[in-house]
Amino acid sequence: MEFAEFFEQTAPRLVRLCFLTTLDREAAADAAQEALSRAWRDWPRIGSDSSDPTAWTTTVALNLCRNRWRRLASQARLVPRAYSIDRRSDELPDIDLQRALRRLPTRQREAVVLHYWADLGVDACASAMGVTPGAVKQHLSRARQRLAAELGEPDLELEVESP
Amino acid sequence: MNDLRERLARLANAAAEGVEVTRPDQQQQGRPRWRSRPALVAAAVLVVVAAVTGLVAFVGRDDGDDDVAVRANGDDGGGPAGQATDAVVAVTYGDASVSSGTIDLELRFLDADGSVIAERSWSEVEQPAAGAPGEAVVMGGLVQGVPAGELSLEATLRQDGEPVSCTQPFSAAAGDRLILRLQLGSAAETDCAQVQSVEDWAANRTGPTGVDYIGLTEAEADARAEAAGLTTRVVGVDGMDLVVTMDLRPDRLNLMLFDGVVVAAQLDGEGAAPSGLECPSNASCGSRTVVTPVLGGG
Repeated sequence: MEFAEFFEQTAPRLVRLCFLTTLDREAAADAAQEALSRAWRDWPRIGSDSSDPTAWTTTVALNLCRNRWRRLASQARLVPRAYSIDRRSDELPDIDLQRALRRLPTRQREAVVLHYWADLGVDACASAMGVTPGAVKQHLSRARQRLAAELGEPDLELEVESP
Repeated sequence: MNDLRERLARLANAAAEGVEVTRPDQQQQGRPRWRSRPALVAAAVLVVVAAVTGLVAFVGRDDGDDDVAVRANGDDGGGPAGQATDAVVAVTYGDASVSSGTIDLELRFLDADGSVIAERSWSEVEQPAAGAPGEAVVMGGLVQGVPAGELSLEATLRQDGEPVSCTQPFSAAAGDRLILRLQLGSAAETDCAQVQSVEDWAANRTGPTGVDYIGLTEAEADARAEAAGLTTRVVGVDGMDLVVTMDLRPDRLNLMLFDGVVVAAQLDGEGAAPSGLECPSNASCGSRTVVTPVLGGG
């Protein structure tokens, strides 16, 4: 696969993934841009047939989002920012969901986003997060309880789909 | 379940509206001229790394109140021509407790002729940190590619009063990796930063297990550690020692990063107190503690 094709397929998804894990559009754009920049830098290696550049980039992006310092890093680049954000879109929907996600611990939020938004199985979530599948299930279980409480939907039942 | 999926999708789609990221290969076309002249083609790898991942700064708050203004000279022809990113310099402005308030910090890199290589300014409205009423933790820095030669860093801090400025001269040779730790609280107009090489910063912080991790990116180190049954944590970034917990986990590899690359790696406990001696209760053994130059203090 050529990098250009990979970028077109991956960039929109990565921005969304990063937003849901950071709940910060600017941080999401930063992390997605940085992850894609690293993917481009390492493309000869990760773009080979035997590699999975999407999984690699997802893991890198999650690390960037998770690590406060890495995420903050790109807020202050000494080069003009490579991305642009339309400030008119600052009003985002579903404040309740945003608040509930924001109150989840980072790992639980990552697990929810990867599993329920990105449709990754437990094993793939574990690989992306760098934890065991058992840990992912635990994060999901606790996240479901908290989301149900936060969203005021005690009947919220979220299945954990097999890998 | 479907309801949550749909809500997540709607939120993500709305957030992504108006966000445009740039293909990194196309991003290069807009680089400042002093970093993209044909003479630098021979150093393409260095330039790419510097342009894509190297020119990074760290600021201490993510409360959304930052007002960041960034400019790198040269793209308008005003910068010094023919300069290369021969060396990499990390500037930190510490990890300090300060009173809540607005902080403005400006940094300018100058070459030997006094021409501005790059400059940056930002404004932060600090909020009290959790558990520390009236105080906020500030932590920041940046990594800048610079040409070799006699250079200087001008730093100006404005915090609830008169600005505090200083100029720190430093020398950079090709291949150098330097750390400048600003200490803007002093009244000194020069020599207001500690200058240290990355090698000195990372000295004696690599254990037998960590040797194989030197030179890897953070993601690569994470992957290798995971394959070896280890966990990782970052204990130092670009000259800054991060706050870490003091617990001892023999399967945890402590990484120190500079410009995105591992420069030291050590398992918990490696390099701790000599055999037969217990770590004193008031000391850090096998873990990092924080060096905190005072920002804006007297």
